[in-house]
Amino acid sequence: MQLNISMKNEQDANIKDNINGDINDNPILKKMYWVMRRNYIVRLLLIYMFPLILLVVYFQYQYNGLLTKSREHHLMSAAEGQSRILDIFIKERINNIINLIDNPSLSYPISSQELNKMFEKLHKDSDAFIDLGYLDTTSIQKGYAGPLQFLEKKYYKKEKWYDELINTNERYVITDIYLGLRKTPHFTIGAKIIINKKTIIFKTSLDPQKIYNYMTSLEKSKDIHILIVNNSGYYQLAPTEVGKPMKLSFYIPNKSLNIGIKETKDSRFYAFSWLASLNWAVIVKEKEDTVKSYFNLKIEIIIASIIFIAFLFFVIIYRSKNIVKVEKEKDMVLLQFEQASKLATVGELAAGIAHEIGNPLNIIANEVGIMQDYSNPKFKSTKTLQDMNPHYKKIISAVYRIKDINKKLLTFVSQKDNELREYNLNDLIEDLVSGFFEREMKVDNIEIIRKLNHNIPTILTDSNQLRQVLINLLTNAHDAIKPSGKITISTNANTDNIYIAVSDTGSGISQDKLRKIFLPFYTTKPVGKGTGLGLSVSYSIIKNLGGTITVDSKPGLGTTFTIILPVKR
Amino acid sequence: MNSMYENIQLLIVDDELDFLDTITERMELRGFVVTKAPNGEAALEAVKTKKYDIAILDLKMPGLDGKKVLEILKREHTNIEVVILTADGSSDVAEETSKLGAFCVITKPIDIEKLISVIILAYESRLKKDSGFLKQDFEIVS
Repeated sequence: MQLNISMKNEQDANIKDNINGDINDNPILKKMYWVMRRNYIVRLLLIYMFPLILLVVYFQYQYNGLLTKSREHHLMSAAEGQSRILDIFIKERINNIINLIDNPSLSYPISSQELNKMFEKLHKDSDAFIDLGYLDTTSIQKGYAGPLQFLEKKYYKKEKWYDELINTNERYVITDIYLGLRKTPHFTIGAKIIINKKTIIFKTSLDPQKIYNYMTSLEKSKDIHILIVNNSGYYQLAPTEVGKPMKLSFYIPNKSLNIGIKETKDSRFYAFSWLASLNWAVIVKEKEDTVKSYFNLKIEIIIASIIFIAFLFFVIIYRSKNIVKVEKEKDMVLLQFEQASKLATVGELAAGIAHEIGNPLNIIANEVGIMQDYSNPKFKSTKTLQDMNPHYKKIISAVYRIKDINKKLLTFVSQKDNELREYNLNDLIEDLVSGFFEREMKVDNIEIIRKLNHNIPTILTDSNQLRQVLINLLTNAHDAIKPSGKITISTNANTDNIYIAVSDTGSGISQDKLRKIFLPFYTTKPVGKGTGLGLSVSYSIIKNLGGTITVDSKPGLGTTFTIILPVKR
Repeated sequence: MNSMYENIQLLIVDDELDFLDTITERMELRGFVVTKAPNGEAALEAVKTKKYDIAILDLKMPGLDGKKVLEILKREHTNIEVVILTADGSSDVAEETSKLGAFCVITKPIDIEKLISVIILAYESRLKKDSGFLKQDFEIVS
């Protein structure tokens, strides 16, 4: 008993392996699964990836826009703030000097002691003041207070600011930054006062480095370079890594705007703001580190987006693989069901087949037997060779009967031509009924009536599978009929569908059983007679072929199964 | 030899006419007295007019099938022995028919010697029954 069971399992495993092999090796199925998977991928990509990519691109675009705006805003406000600081600084220095010289008690010439006192006052106001000198219209410096005594008596006629100051209506002029005689960057404020109808000109040099240091040390200025250029675009003040004073700037700001921003081709931003007090502009430029950190941020977001999209892509690929795997397993179970049902059908048919083969064999044995009898002297037969003819004929016809059954049996069991071809369903039914069922039905007192419409179109279908469905239906009809009755097979067609109806005059099926009839393993036949697979497999076969199968039954009167197959698939 | 079989009244029932004709001829060659019936109805008709010892009965036949005929024969003619002749040699058939009172089941194709030995066994059983029946009859009468 144990042995039997293990052998049975082994057999099952073999069948399963065969089916596995079928599914994985069949090039048509392989292609079908590939197409199925491709369709899943395309569909999932369209549903999930396409909107996601749009969203990511939109987000990137908006984010970059916002980032650019915030960078621009930051730079412009920095430029404006810095220019204010510088403006205020310069205005204060001008006020310092004007207040100093607008002294009614000042008399000409000014003693060096007086001048020193004035310079000390000035220096107290701001330590940017380096020195103080004065000259008259002879343009020769008359007095000087400061660290560079050699400047005394210096002739200033050729200096530009001197001319400017003489000719202007303003009280003062401010020079650009220059190196001058002391070889350090500085600028000069010249201011004039008329004492006793005599124009006296004061000049003071200022060191811009201190205010520049202040400007660059502010918290706001940490991530920017601050450059100051003059009217013609020469650096006045600049950090050493960008440029040197008196060199031409990389960028000359637009003079028609007070404040502005410029983006270069390599995504660098410059903001500028012109000073109110003199023709200088403050240019603010992001430090390379800042530019790099912005660039890195953009790259990080792009990489994150790509990783996210790639992850989703792999999920989709994996998902499609799984879907196809599930689909494959479903098909495999279906195939196993089909195979099991086929074997079961063969089993159910076995008695009929034995009968069909046993009878002609019996005839042959007997015909040979009687001819042996004729030649047996014991029976004193007077038969001639001529008399043997009818017996030969009977033998031959019996042999052909067996051959016929053999052929039909093979076409049923064969799995080879498991493919779609054009078939005339009438021929299929005719073959099946006359080959298999008619004789068996006749001995069981069942008449098979064919009502075949000979104008039905051919149909592209799997003849083996359809044959199996018909065998299932005919076997069921046969089993439902007791003791005698009729089975009617009819075919019909309209433009869209072909109809095959199998009706029996059997016992019929009650309403509650009718609902369960297509469920696998549901059977009303005695134990060992039915597997309950026939109709469920028939149902899935017809569904696979693109059709439907319906049942209609009246208890006591009979049952009709109708197969509807589409003409065009 | 012939004289031995002459007493045995045989009824052969089979819808395969080719077989029926030939087996009848062969049995007659061996001295049996044979009546042939091509279907169940004909068999039942035959037993009405003549007393048979043994019926050789096919199972699968159009009209009345072998089982039905067996049932009726055993019901109405208790002493007849029925040998079932079938192409379907499954144990189900043997079980079912022996319940219905068949003597035994022979599977087609048949070996004539075997058939004859079965017929003789069946005939002996029939004779025993006959004498038992007579005894019973006698007892009832007395």
